[in-house]
Amino acid sequence: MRIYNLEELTYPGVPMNFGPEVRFTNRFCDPKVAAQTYAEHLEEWALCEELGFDGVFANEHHFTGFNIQPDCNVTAAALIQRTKRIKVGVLGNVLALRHPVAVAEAFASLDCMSNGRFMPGVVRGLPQEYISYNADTFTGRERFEEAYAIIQRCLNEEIFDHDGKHWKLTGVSIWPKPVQKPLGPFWMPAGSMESIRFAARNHIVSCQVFQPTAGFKEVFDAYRQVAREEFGWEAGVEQFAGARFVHLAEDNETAMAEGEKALAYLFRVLGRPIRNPAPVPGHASDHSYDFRRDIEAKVSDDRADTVGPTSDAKAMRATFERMRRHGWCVAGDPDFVAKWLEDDASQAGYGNLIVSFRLGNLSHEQVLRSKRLFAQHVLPRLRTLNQAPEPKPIAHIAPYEVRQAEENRRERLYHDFNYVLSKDAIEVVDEIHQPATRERTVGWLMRVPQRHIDGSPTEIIFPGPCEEHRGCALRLGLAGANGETISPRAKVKLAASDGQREETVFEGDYGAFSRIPDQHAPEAALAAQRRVVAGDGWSIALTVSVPANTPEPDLEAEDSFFEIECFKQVLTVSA
Amino acid sequence: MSEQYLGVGYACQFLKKSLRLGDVRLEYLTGGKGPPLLYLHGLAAWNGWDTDHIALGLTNTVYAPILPGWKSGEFPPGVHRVTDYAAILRQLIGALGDSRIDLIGHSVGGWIGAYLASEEPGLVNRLVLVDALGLDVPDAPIARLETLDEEALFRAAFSTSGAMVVAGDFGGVPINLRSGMTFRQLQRGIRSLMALTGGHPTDPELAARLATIAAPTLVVWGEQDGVAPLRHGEIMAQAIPHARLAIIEGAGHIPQKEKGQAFVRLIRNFLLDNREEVAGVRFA
Repeated sequence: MRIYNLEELTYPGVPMNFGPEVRFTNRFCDPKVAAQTYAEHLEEWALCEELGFDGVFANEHHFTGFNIQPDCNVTAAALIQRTKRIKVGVLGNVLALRHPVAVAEAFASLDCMSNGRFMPGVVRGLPQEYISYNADTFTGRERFEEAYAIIQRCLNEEIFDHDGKHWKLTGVSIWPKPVQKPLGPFWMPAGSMESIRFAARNHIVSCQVFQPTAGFKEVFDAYRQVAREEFGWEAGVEQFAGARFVHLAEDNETAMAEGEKALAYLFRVLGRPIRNPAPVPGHASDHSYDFRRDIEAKVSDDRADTVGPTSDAKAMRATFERMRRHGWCVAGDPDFVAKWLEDDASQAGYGNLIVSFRLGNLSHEQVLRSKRLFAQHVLPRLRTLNQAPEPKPIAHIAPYEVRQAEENRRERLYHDFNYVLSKDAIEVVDEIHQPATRERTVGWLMRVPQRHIDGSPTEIIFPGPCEEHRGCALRLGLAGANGETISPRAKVKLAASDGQREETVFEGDYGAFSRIPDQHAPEAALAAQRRVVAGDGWSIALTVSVPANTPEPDLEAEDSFFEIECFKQVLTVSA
Repeated sequence: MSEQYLGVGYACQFLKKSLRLGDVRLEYLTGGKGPPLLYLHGLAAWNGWDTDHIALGLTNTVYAPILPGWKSGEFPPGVHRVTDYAAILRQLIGALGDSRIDLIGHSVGGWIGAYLASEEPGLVNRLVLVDALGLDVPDAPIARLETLDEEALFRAAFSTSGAMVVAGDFGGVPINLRSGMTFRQLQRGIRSLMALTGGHPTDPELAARLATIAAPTLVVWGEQDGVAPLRHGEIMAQAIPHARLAIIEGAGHIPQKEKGQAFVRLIRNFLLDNREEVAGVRFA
């Protein structure tokens, strides 16, 4: 089993002598305490490398003292700086609140910063997050799925346009690319049937928290079944992650006494800081509620859902013991914790344990002691359990190697042109007519615009053959004044000149063009033979020299045309 | 997201107001923004601003009156029958300054709503009737509510076989319907219903009145309604000229509670003229 550390970064200083209104605002947040809490957590996380964990996760919540990390990418960047070998992940970005391209850019950057140690994660988010960001709950799920698709395209495709229901994007090509190819696997909490189906379809690692062992098992079994029956693959233990709060001390009694206090504090800050307690419309579906209900029915023998501070110490202890049994807080001596987690992992069938130490308002010292005990006594025992290869990510979308991998890539034309020179282009300044005794030359004279009014230079680039493609497309059709056919032996030349020297893009017989039945068919056109860059004020000439005694092309004729698919660069230099 | 989008957070907020209409003091909840919508409660669930109110508040200014006397069983002067509430509600609409409204009525509120929409067809823009009472259907009669013990009432009102539904955050919080507010209110609502109907909660004239309803109407029924069986919904949808029947699977008499998310999507789509399908709902 792989073992990761995630901490909720709970604010420790919310007073215990106030009612539930402590959750509604940030009134009780002292930034000095918040700064201290961050500092302690970062130190606790960094210790994981030394203690032999496989990785650390940062997560995010909003508008709550339960977790004061609203941007887990920021935390992950800090963790990457404090570690060298272990993985660093996020679990995850709330897609409803972010632009998917920004998420992909952050993930790719984090993967580069960590040199391939990054674990990406996405989450749906909680209702209060939608409400205060004014995000539409009714379209939350479909936007989540569309955002995920966009993130995958950003990470795996060289450049793309996206015309979706919620996002319209053009020319997206992010820098940097991630180090991992493809980046992943992705992680997400998948507890509803909709999320399970989505995760199974995309081979996303499914994480669960705040459930008894039997609840984990139900959710993971549902994933296994959906993966097998709907998507035709077998999900192994590596595809599942169980998340548990643990608290260790030398003896059971100390661990339980400390854990009990900390859990009571946790429930002071956990929950939804919305004034109206009604379930928010549109955020979840009845289907997912029904699924939860069926799980609840199976595991709710003596489940406790809330625990508050009470003066009745016996009642408090009884509640804590129920919650301890159900995995809200696995508190005990190392042997108890190891045994409990062994049973949990083997019965629920997960191959990744995400363990959290900083429960509620436990102190830095308590957490360090607990973590060291865990690393020394529990971690080695869990290692050998549920061993499996690393979960494999899949990239649905053509990865960026596609162009290199394609056979006959040299047969492809240059496709990234952004401009087409033609008879109607603004660059065409004149016609060329050079009558001669033996052969007459006609053609079009073009000029690259002089420096743009704001001082930006312009370039017209004719990409020539390279290992990626065979050059930019050239198309040419000619007709005489009375529809006569032009001799296939006519010489065609495309060249650019700065007035001093001439650079030839293409030279050949007109027959090479006229023999192609449809020059607009895919990959049918002729291509530039050489790369030429025509700068400011350069002239470009496309000329045809016809042999003596053959019809002369009429440049004005309907059937006389040319198209040159090139790249026109305007370097805008502006503040 | 458009700039005009008025979020769920705004629609969560509501005010409790009261009005004096002649001898009657009428309390109502109001919130949301948009065209006026009157939401008439059923036997139970009269005093909360719940998920369904919030969803309606995204598209409409919602007025949810509490039928005077319904909680206490002490009815104001002039209220001797269920349909007598229609006159009070007509006054409320006038007092709010609206000439046309959207109207949603649940259970006993559906009965009153259907009556109001047939009395004054020009008043109601769009009508939604949810598991409405009032029809006299000899082959599928309304449950004899006053005779049911707690267990039987529970089975009649809810489709859920267990005592629990799930709603809320972190993938759901279990709610025990049996010990919850809704069920206790239901028992009080039945006492009021029996007091106003002399133990016969039907209106022999209602069936004929339905034909005069002019508003586009959505008839919504919980498939397993054991209080007013689905047959009532079918008859209503046939009798009302511009009506469709939407059946919510896995719900009883109070689909707002049991299939709350399907319920709000269904009604929202109707009010927005949106034809998209809703999981768990089929049209007859």
